[in-house]
Amino acid sequence: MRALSSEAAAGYGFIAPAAVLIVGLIGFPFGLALWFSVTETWVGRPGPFVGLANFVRLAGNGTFQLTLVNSLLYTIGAVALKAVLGFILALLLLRITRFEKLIRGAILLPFVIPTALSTLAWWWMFEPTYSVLNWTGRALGLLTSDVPWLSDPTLARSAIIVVNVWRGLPFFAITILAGLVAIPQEYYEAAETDGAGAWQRFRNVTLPLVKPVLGIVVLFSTILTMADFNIVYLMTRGGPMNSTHLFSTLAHQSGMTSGRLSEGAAISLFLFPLLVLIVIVQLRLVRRQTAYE
Amino acid sequence: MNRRQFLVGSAGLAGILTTRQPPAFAQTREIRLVKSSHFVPASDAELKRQGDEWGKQNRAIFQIDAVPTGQLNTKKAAIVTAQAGADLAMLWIGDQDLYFDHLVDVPDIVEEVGKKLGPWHHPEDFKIRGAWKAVPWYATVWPMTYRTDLLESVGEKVPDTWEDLYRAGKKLKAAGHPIGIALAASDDANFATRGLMWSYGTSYVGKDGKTVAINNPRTVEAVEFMKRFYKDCMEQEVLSWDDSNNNRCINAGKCAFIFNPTSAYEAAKKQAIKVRGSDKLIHEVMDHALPPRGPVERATSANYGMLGIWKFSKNVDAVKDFLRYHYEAPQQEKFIETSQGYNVPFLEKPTHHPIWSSNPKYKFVRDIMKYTHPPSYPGPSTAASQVVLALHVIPEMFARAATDRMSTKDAIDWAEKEITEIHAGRKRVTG
Repeated sequence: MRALSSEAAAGYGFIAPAAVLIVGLIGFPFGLALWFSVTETWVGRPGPFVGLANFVRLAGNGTFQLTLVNSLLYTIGAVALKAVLGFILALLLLRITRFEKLIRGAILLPFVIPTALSTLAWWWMFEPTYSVLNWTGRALGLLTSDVPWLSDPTLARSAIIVVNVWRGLPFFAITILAGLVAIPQEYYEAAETDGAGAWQRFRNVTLPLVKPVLGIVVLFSTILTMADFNIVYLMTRGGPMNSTHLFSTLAHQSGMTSGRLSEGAAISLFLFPLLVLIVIVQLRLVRRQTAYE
Repeated sequence: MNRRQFLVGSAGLAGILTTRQPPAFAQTREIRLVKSSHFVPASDAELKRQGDEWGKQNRAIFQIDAVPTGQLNTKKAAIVTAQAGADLAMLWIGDQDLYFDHLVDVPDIVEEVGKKLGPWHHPEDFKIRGAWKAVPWYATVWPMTYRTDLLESVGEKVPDTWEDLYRAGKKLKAAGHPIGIALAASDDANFATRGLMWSYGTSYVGKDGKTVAINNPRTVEAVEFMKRFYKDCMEQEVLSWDDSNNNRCINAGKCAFIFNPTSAYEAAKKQAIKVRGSDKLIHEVMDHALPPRGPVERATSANYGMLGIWKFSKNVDAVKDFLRYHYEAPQQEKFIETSQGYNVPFLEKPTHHPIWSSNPKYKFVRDIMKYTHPPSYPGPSTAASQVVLALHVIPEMFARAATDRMSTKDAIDWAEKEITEIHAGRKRVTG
């Protein structure tokens, strides 16, 4: 075996701390969660190996099925809205030339404020007794009775999607904006010379060239949105009647607050193959880039 | 260092080495209690004061690690997994079974305290698998809190039964003052709906704590009652309530009745909240009453707080000593007093504390423990019962039927399936 050159050794030395951190803080808990999910483990009481029984049982459990539906609705709804609105916002930002930096900075605020704080503020807006939305609605004569924002399953689902979109929109807008700025002006000029209208320029120049950036943003956002915890935990705690539970909040309730670690692990790992699939599909789509030589 | 000093020093070191005892000055022990932060902060401050006082006499440092109530279970789970982090813990009654192997048996302390301040109320409720795994600490009791003026305005007396409450509630809701019983993922909801079931003579589990007993005609009656009650006496907002919404509802002048500990009244008094649109202080027109009676009995549940010593603590004897000190009459009295009567002990003598007997609005406290059962009633407080509680299965069942998202039968079937599955899971691990 050839000895490592000193440079290579130094290289490994430099990545060692990061590798240790990744193995210790991500690899180990992940492995432990995998193990828990195939056993019946309670807090303080390791249990027997049960194979895939936890997953099979979850698949037939009403609350879990509802959580699956909730998670898909939440993720698809929120990511789609963020992508469309984020694109529009980015196109608008591109046109702004005055106070450009100030406005771009200000737009990032919802993304920068700690989620726990901003979500609490939203909660106060939707909360039944002192909802400022209901109060305003009544004061303007638009409402005759209070809207049960968080007590009606459909409204509660919509409310958490609104908060997620509000928080995630800046990330989409700013990243897409970066993609837009990078498109060389000559393409537009060439398209115009060829007689392309605004829609055609958008359709054939802007969209294909922003696609890789958009793909990455959607990929990240899908993963983060599906794994979201704070918004639901602070606004609805999964209610009313479990209609807003996501994988993470249900896993927390089952695994952490009631001590059934294996159940919690199985719920959170149910997501894993799905996320891997999303990542593979997304990365393939992104790689199929359009290039104008 | 001269020769003499060296000799003295080395003799000392030799002494330590032979006896394996560090010198007395280094023997300061640290006792750490993990608990939920108290709704009345003065109570935690008093507990810390007692710990410091006891520590001074016993060369110990007493630390309190107070976490938000919702995070206490997670914290305990982490401590037990690490086998480190605390000596003493505030347990919920079901934790005794969940952490059975990790808790020190404490029958000696329970007996001593019982002799001094007892007898204990319903001592049979606390033992698990025949053992005393923790010392009962205090309950947070669940009476009805109501507005006397609103009740009078609809020509009703304090309701004695659920049907009385329904009759009054229907009139009150029509007058814009609904009743507020949470049917959501919260403690309030868990306890109120259990009380309703028991008062109808049904429960989700049998006396053995294993047989799932929810699917019976009496549960159907209780659920049918709640369907009526929800539609005619309550508003949809109860489906999303957490444990503070009902306090706000009554203090904002909206709700006429809530099922809650005395915190709404205390908050109203402290903040001198006025009845909306008048100069009347709202706490003066608020009172408490025992929970309503059903066709079979009068019953309610509560948060059962216990104190348990971890086996992995290095200071078990010192912790026991602290517990003995904390359960002496003067300390218990101060503890109750600083909590503004929120901490209701499971012991007879402290229940006669003047903080309750001097205020007519607290006269229910003397009696409420007679009707208060642990959430697992009539079964023992098993780990499975704690899961049924944490997943809010019972209030969920009522909510699904009350909102017509499910038929009464389907809602009960759903709950039965969930509860059966939870018990089966626990059985797989305990055999």
